[in-house]
Amino acid sequence: MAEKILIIDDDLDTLKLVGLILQRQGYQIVAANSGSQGLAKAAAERPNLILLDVMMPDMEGYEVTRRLRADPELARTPIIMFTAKTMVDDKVAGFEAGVDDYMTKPTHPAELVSRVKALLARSASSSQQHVVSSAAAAVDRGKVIGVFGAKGGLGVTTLALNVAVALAQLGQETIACEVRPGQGSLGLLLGFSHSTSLGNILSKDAKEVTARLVEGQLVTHNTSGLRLILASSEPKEMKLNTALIQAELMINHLATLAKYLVVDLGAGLSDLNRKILPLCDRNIMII
Amino acid sequence: MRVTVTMAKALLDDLDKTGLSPNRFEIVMLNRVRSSLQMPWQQAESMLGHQIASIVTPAPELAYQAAEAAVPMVQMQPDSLTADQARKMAEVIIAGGRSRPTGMLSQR
Repeated sequence: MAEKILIIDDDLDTLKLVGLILQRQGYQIVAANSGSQGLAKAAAERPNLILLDVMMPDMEGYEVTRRLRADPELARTPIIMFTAKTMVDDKVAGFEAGVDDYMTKPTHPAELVSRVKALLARSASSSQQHVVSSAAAAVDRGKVIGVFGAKGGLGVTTLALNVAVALAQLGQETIACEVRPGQGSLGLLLGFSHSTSLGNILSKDAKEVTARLVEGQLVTHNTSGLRLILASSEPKEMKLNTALIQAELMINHLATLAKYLVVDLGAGLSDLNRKILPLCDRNIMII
Repeated sequence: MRVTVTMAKALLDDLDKTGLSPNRFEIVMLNRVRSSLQMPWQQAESMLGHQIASIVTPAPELAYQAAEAAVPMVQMQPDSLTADQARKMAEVIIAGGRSRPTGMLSQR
């Protein structure tokens, strides 16, 4: 989905020109020609970035920035101040109000695009980290037990499953999670006809990997009562091995839903395992 | 088993390089062949340079029956040695301790 950029400027020529430049780069453009209209559109549209003029008749860009930063829902939205004011004091005022970057008019389209791209990339990374940290900081986190093999075919899934069931039999609320996109066997082992829960989580945008989404994907094994996140055995799902942030979020959310979370990590030291092993309270390596 | 232990050693070395201390990992030797074909655990420890926390004995018939019935082994035969070993691992996890030296071993 295209990232959305809100341009707030009372100069219609600037709105059209900048909007066109960014639209050609694939961004979705929303425009506002006054400060107050900009604030309203920011609240309604939730843009990924705001390009903001300083001198506007109803409200200066500095005040617009301060109001955006005071709104918890918009406080993290990156803002580039885009203005004809070139004095150092003006730039300082902009940064003090809370903008992330400052550009003076006129500017070369290539510079504008590269600054927008750079800020959006920084913002996405910071936003994902923020989401991950929030999930990890959740209270009442259960113990995470990672199980992985020195190589494939050693019985990692069998051991992870049976230890998880044994924990449940000992009265401990337990979830088993198979983090092996495209190589799942736990569902097959337990007689499930579909094992889509892991794919349904890892295929989402990181912002969408919420506790509610993760909990909604849990399936229950009828005879043991064990709750499970199952990986598909369809090879095409192996592409989800790169969904590292989503996997980290999922583990952090699952850990809040049970006293013990047993994670089947498959074999070896994949990027996914490098991400998840440090999250585990205990790591069991099968040889 | 020699191949597996060699790969495990490489994996532990790699984990160490990535900042994950091998001491954070418990090694479980999950045997799937009869004892006459198994590598002695002492030899595996020596090759790994790392203690083995637990040994699970082979149970091919039980594994087959459980897979056919789509039921975990600990439920299929709760009195089996395998179920007992899984329960001991679970008890060690609940106790929050380390399984060394023989806490969850059936035989060493």
